[in-house]
Amino acid sequence: MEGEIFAKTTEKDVTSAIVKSFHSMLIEYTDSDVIVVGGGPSGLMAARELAKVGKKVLVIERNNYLGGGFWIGGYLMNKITVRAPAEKVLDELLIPYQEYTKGLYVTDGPHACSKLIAAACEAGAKFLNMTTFEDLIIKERRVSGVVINWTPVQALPRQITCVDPIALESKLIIDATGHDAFVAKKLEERGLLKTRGYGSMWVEESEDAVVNHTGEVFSGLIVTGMAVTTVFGLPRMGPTFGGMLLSGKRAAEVALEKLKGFE
Amino acid sequence: MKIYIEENLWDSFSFFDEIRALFNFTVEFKKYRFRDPYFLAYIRVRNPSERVFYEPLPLEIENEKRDLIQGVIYDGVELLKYFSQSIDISKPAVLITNRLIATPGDDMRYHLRMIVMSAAAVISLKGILYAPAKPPEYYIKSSLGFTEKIDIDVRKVLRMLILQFYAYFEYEEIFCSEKTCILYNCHTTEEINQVKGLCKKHVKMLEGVINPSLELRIF
Repeated sequence: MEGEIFAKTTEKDVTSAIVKSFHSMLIEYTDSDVIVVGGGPSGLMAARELAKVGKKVLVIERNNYLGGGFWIGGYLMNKITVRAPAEKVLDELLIPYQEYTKGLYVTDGPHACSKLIAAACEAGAKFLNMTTFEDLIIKERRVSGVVINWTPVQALPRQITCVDPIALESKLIIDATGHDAFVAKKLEERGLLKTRGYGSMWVEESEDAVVNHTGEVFSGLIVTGMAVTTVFGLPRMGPTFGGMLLSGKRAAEVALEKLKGFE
Repeated sequence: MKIYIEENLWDSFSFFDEIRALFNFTVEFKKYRFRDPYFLAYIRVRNPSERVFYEPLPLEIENEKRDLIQGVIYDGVELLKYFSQSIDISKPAVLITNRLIATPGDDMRYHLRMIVMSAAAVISLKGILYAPAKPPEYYIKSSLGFTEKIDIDVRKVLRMLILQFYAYFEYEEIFCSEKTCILYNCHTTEEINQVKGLCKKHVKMLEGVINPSLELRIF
């Protein structure tokens, strides 16, 4: 018919397309190599690096959108700064930028963030957004999975208490939940780890500190990004993102090394 | 007097002659290395408002061994205690380090320090840059993510700190109230800029000990 642009379909086909494809993805990812909790810059970077080399990676994100704080720089201004050598990551992701002063680069938040999300997707990472991390699976003093639920469940009235979560298994978990360090804090609740809380903002050295301290803090749990500052009691970084990107890369390197033990 | 320079700083340290020129007596320089990475990881400052020490994580100890200590702040009292117990403190001894040191202030919060002194002293070169309070513009620009150049004459401050420790060690003189005197306890970059030389009282006190050509206007 003239003016008809789109292919014919039915409501039931649209619904079953959503349900079936989501269902098969969820079934497949009940067991992963790595679950990344948190879809901000460090989590996305780690997921991308791991998926790129063929690892089965699932990212859990409590918001509807991915990217965390990477859309916006300081004070709600959507310019992102990175310091050398992190501009190499921008090159790698084909994100345009300008040199502001020697070694300090500025890029557009929306462009940088959408490219990073796309890079993680294209590498093969899968995502569960609107999904809240609730707890850890710990077996024989080793982290081996996460307990999750839909984010809206948290907003339900208190009378509705029986909305059980589900659990997903993985060889490794990466805590990329920012200052909250939700995953590490779950270990702390059980007395298995003591987080220190982050210190004052210190742009100049905190990025080095975050990258240097990115690593395994408990058997099976790697921390990256701002979660590192909370676990180790390091200064926070302020609105500059190179440390997040390089910390994500470092987390992936550590994870790859640890995954060798499972081969 | 013995000046210990932490091993990882030795090659880049450029103030040997300036320190020697301060005194009429021989100043001996030696390399120093903290032998206990566990202890260093243990005495890290974790929380600006609480003096509490944690069992270090293996990665922290590993990073101490590899000198990956950017962004790390140490409890100055504990670091000084360790240093003092590892050397002869019958003569004045100073450790110059690149580690950042902090001690709790009157408000019970940790504050970065340029120097911590008692029977010996630890001077933080990085602390000389970061500890003194800067003009407000510096903090505004820093908070927006821009790394502002810190305009401090490290050579001047280093010599001030060494003389302050020496005056304390030999004469039990705790600072000077004259804002232009080298022995004034500066907390801001502005105060550092106001320091011109030794005041009359301290020229007299240090007579014969410091290099006479430096007595009136050291800088």
